[in-house]
Amino acid sequence: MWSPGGCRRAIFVNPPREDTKTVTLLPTRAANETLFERVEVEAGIVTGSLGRITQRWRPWHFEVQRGSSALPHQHLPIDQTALSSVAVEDQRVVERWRETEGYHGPTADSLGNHATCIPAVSAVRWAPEPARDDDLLAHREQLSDSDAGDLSLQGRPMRLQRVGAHIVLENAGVSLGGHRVLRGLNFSVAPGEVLGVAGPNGSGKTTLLRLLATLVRPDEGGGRVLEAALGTAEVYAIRSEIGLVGHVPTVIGELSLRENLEHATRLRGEDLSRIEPALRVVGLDEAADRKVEASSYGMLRRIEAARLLITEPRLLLLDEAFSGLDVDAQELMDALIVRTIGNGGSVVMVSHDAAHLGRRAGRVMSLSAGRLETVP
Amino acid sequence: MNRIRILLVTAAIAVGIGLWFAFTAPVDRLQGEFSRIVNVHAPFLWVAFLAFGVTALASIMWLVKKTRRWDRLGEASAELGVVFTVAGLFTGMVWGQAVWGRAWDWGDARLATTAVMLFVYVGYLALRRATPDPEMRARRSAILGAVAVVQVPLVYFSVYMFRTLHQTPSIRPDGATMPEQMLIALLFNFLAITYLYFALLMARIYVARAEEAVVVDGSLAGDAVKPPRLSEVEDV
Amino acid sequence: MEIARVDLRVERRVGDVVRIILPFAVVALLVFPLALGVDLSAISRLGPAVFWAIGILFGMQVALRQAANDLPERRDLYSLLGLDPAARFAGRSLSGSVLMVGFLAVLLVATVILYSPDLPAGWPGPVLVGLVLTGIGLTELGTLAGEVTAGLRNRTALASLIVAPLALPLVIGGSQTLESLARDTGILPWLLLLVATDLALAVAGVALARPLEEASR
Repeated sequence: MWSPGGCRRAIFVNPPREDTKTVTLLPTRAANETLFERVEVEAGIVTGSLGRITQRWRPWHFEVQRGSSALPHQHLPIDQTALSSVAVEDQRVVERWRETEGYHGPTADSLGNHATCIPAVSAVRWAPEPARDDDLLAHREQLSDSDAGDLSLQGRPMRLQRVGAHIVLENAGVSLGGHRVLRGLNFSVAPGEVLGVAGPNGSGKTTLLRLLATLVRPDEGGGRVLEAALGTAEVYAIRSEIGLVGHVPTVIGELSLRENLEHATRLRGEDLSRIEPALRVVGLDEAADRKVEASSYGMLRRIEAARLLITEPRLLLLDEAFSGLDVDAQELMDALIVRTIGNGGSVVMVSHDAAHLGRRAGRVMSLSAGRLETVP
Repeated sequence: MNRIRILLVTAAIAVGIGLWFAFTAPVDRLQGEFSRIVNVHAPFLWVAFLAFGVTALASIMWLVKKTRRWDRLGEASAELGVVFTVAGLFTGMVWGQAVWGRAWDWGDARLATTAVMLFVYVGYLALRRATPDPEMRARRSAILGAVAVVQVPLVYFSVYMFRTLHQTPSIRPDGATMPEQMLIALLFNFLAITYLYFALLMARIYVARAEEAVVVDGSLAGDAVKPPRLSEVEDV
Repeated sequence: MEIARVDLRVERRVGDVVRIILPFAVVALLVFPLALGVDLSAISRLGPAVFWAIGILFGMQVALRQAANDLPERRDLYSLLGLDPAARFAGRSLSGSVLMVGFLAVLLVATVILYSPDLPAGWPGPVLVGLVLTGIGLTELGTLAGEVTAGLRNRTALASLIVAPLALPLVIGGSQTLESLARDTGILPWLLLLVATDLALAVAGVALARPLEEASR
């Protein structure tokens, strides 16, 4: 139903009236066929569902004064929040959010760009009036790159911004301890994409993820992650936007689960009030005061999930994250993936179970002998 | 390789000449034959100090430039530094024991600081040996070198402060009143031994480069892992 | 700041320092006079020297224990939370200093009791200042050495080897503070020496934080 591929977007723009234009933005085509089981549109709200997880988008219409350079962007609310109105005031795009009970997402005001959700806007199309439900489903074509850039709509300039790929690797290789572990890696990951990497044990999957997490530098070739060149000091700026779920849960042993979460939240400068909702979502609100040493593996994974809910990474890296988890916890991981995608981010999952990857990822590559090959 | 050989041979000759000078120069009245040791002892300590400086400098240059050659230089200089420091301390102790009846002299700040320098070297080399990955090895030892650059002057300074406070009359005379021939011998030996250090340094770096060329191996770590042969389970 | 808080909280829960290192150090205090077999007046003269020697040698272990707690996953976590390595160094040094000063203070009390040294007039003030400065410097050195040896085999011994020679200015500065107080000569140069060392180490720690973070994977 939704076209495969990377992050594409159709914008429906009304023919301009005197000095205003109405822009309707569709959500990122973030849901590939294999991720969501069902996609529906009702009353202008698009809903994608995967099991018990739903992701909703509300395409919004707003009017932009002619000549303003407000860059169109979009927040994709996660479950249980709603964007109640968007308006242009004083040449700024202002969103108002209605916070519902439960977990809440990004904050209220935004000015122009919002780093987490810059869309990969590729083109503009005219539509006679604001898109109707059928249009949303029907008009989702692949738009070509040449449509990007500065466009003029009937003579009036309007700037669209293009965002780059989240990951680009060019012939990258890594050696550790004198042995070459990865070599000749060439691929890219676009925003909104879920990439699966399958491979047997010992093929270097963990090293690949650590390379993408900028924790290891390539000693051959290079690449960019979230626009920062690997192996340079640029990575320090984007590290906080990466979330890594490793083989072993990363928690501080002597603290309780709640304290771990508080510690991470404080280090990130996030608001402590987000902790309770996060704990509720992962189902640990009552167990949170247990010490890590007294907690099961599944609980530690859930606390990691809670931490990722708070830190909202743009790039989510999962290293065998589904192994050893019960159904509830697996759903939690799925929710994290959906949420990351919904926010315009991307996900790279690594597993030795190719079938499992196939259910979640839009594209699967196989890593063997340090090289990556696309699996058809 | 030939260049290295030439360096080493000429260095050996220079040191030989230096030793000849040392043995034919007149002896100090008080110290007797043992005064000859100064001819090697002082240059050894000077080279130890120089080698340390070179290692420290190489560490900082590595952090700035990140090229292999600085790491090789640092490693080579540190190894030679240990050798020369031990040689210097040993000759010093022999001299002290023979002439003054005491191998170690707390009043001489130079001894204590040289000993500290020796242990900083030893720590540096121990760190290198404990790190298998070449890139990490270079990194960590460069950082230690940088810390040493900062700390060692403070060590020296503090020991000197200590010494000036606990002033014991200096029992090791400076060479200012030496007869001319002794002075010439000493100076020549300084030059010869410094030259020897330089030659050995070049040789050591050459060896290091040769070692690295051998290590590079094209295979991948994961290649060695093969799928299990389940049909042969019964054979076990 | 946050790092410091958590480190201290961990310490409170686990209590390595209080339960293990400190008693060990006090035992060492007991061992010295017995090993040396000296007469009583010599013991009290030895007091300050023994305090500084043991304080530095065992204090090193206090600083290193923190580094030992630092598993690779934890470092990755901190990196990905966007924590600047320099901030991590500062936080570690802060919490380590608190523990170190506490350790040294208790050790001081134990030494005074066991060795009953002759203490010069006006003694607590400058000596405590010296103690705090020495503690800070030792923590910084220990943190640096701990990071540079992260993940290596036999790390504690190696780190101790690295710290020991470089800690000399701290030993000298600290002990001379007391001695010059006794002789009524200037204590200022020694305190300044300690301050200079602490500053130099702090600068090194912050400047080298990023390379260090990369190096210790």
